[in-house]
Amino acid sequence: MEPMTKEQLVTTWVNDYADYLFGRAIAKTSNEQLAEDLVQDTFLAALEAFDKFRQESTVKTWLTAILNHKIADYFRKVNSKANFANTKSIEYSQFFDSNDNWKIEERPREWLMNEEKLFDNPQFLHIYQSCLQQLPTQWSAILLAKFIEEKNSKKICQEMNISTTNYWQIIHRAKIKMRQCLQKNWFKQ
Amino acid sequence: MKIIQKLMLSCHQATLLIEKKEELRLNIGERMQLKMHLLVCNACRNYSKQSPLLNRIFKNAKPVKNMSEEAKVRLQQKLKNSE
Repeated sequence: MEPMTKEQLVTTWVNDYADYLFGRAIAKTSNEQLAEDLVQDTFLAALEAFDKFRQESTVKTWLTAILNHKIADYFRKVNSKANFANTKSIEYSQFFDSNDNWKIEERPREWLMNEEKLFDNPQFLHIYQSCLQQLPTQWSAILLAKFIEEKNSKKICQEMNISTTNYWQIIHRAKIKMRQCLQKNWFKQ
Repeated sequence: MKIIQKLMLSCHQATLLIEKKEELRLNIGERMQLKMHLLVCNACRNYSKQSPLLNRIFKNAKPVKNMSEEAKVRLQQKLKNSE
């Protein structure tokens, strides 16, 4: 039997590891298309660097390390521009009137629900995911860093290269937007 | 009138303090202003209940997803074509 070429071997790795890497990429970016691109870039980079893979670690560990680099590169690129241009789409003026109080149609209403059943409900998770994808990628990345990785604001500001004021603006606006999205689409108030 | 305006937070300011309260320690002035605002503002009271719920959602809601079969096939094609 002929030995596999490296292209063939890396192709089999897709079956074994693509879902795992994809899960990690989604967890960090909550953007399906972006996660796909990152996984693709990871495998292509692995193919290119194949000869350097010295079997000191497992394939999974090696691919994960490449993916982590790709993710870090992406955020470095996204943060290096003055990237608040695309956040204009979610302005405070959408939610608050000229007195800086809630617009009538934006007022938070009371939510009636059973919180325990929420996290396992696939319909809810689907709506939650699409609400999250409506946020600028940088914002959801900051939310995930804060709540899933539990990094504090100082660390996040350092890594994302933003000021403390920006950090709170982003957290504030992201939560207002997410709350509105869930109220409209799930709690249907 | 100006004094009252200074005493009463806007909803915008109140919601920002609600967010900051979680991570930072508000000073006594901020705590009192927020309390007063929440006494009279139903909307922000609801917001103050929903904010920690949202935090729990961010932390616990993990949509499990696999890469689509179609994307995997595309990727495998790309890898084979770089031979």
